[in-house]
Amino acid sequence: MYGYAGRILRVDLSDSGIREGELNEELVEKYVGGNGFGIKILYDEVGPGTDPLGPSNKIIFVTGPLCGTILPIAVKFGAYARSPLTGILGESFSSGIFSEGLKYAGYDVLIVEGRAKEPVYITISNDRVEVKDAGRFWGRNCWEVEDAIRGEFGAKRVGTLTIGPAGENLVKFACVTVDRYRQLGRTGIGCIMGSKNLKAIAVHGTGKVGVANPAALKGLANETIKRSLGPEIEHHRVYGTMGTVEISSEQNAFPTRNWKSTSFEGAQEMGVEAMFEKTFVKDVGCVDRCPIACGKLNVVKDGPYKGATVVGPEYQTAYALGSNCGVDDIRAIVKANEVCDQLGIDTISGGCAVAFAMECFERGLIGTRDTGGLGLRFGDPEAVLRTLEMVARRERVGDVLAEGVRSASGKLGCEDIAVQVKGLDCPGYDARTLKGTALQYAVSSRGACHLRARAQVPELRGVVDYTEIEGKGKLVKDREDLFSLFDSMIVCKFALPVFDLPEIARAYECATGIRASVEELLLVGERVTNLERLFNVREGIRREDDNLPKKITDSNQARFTDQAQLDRMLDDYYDARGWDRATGLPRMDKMAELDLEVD
Amino acid sequence: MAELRGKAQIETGKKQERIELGQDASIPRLLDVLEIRLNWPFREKFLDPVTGDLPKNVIILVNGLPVRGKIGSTLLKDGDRVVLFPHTACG
Repeated sequence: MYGYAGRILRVDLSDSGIREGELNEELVEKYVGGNGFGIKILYDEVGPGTDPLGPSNKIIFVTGPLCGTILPIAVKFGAYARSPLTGILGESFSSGIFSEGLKYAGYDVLIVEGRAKEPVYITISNDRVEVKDAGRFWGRNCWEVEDAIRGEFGAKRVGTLTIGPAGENLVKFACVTVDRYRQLGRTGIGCIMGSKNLKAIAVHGTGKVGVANPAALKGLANETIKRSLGPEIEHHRVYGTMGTVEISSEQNAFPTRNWKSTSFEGAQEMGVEAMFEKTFVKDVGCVDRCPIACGKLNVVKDGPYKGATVVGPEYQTAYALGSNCGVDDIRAIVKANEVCDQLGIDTISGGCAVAFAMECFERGLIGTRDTGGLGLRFGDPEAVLRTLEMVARRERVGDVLAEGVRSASGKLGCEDIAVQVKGLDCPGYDARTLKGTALQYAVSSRGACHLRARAQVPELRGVVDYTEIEGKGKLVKDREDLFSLFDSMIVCKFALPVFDLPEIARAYECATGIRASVEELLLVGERVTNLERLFNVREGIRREDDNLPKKITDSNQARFTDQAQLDRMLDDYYDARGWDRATGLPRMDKMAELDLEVD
Repeated sequence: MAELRGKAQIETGKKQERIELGQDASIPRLLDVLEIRLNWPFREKFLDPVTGDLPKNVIILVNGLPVRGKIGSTLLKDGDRVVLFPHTACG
């Protein structure tokens, strides 16, 4: 089976049982890999109502057929589970050595199930899979644990996944830190690892991935590298995602102070020019062979946060820990980013929780008695840092915030200031201004998500009119299917300008020997999106859940996307999808067309 | 008012320039004036020499709204605020 390792590895933490299975041919044919494997296995094995923090929930780590090949932009992997933050599909992607390491060790998929009695970590070194005592790591931060585990492997090339105190303390938006500077950020995969007493996973592989046509794949890889160094992708290469900060703010698409406004007066102070002037050190790729290297290594060189080091902040972090908390100092944002990475907190949900708490403090819903004397005021970097610590340790108000903004707003009686969809905090593209972005937040399968359709990209670039509602249903549908395919292969979405559908079809054939047209491949993307929907439908999701928070729909503000606008876009989206307008359920004829058989 | 972002700001050392364009108040004319005044390749960066279009990998905002297509046809008026990004959105 070219392009695949051909095996699935299962680790049951309840009894340290380790089992291997063959990759099912039907799974390969209908779901390709990555995103497809993740949702199919999750749908089949994690039934409705499964306790996200119980032993029956599973974490499914997936690679794709292009991962581990010579292609320099196929270095990602995904994780699937039922989310403890949202109660629906939990899904997150990251880059890192883990992707190639798992395949070189001989596995396409790793499924972790059960719950260990005591803290453990898993090591995979080719065929040698072990569950080891992690007692000495418990309580330590992600970077400390990673360093210790790397020490065990010596000079070998190792991919690591670690959780920090946030994951151990079951913070619902705890992330998994990957190879120190990358994360499985969203939907609380780190919290599930914590619930299983799983502190870390380390992977080392020395095998190879056999491909059907090595010479042709090498040619395509060289072509991709050459184009990646040209003008089509210069914006990623030179600026990274931080280049978007002022583009967003200038177009009223940069949420500020818990979405009180749509642009940030401090954008220049914490944007890409400030980054280059004050903290930038060098470009860093997700792995060493990526020619785009959109990651930016930043180190604070002076002031109270001197020495803080991250590959980042990315745009979303600059929003969540910056503008959304009213912080305009790039050095403070780098520090907050570092704290999140070490504690194991998703920077988006973490920053949004702090911003929410700041507005609660402003309204008198919480006070210094809840914060240990801390004044939670917008614009105060120290308040951000100390609140993140309280969240990770579940101290004082941090314990309420650790359940997620949706839950916290219910407890505090202020749902109107919670900016989330289906429990997932909204990313940093303002859905009051950008209409397609509003729709994508409402319908994305993991809750408010900017990555499944990436509707903000054509909107901010002026390729489509961001004020227009007409046509956004089909735009979001088509882009969801496209990027579901990207995540099934798995290739980096940022490579799209140089690696589009024709290149994906060529790469897939070169790697696997399977010839498929662009249309056939897009059908896989559509099938995957529909199965994600069916997973959520099984958990009770219907049209009324495809909604937006009041901060976006309230028409008593300068910019808004109200319910009537959303309803029109939803109708168009459901029509484009072949879903029932009244319920939001996939119609039987659509399921038959996509060859989906579900209970 | 022309405001510069990204490398245009970093490499020229200017955040903004007040420009008087006179009768030919087009964006290509603005690029010419900026290029001469600040000695930076504005025209090469923001104008496709063959099509006359704005290249896909840059953004120009006029009063907060993105300009697209044949930028020669976009005329500026007194008081307009033009923001030039020599890169585009991602992330």
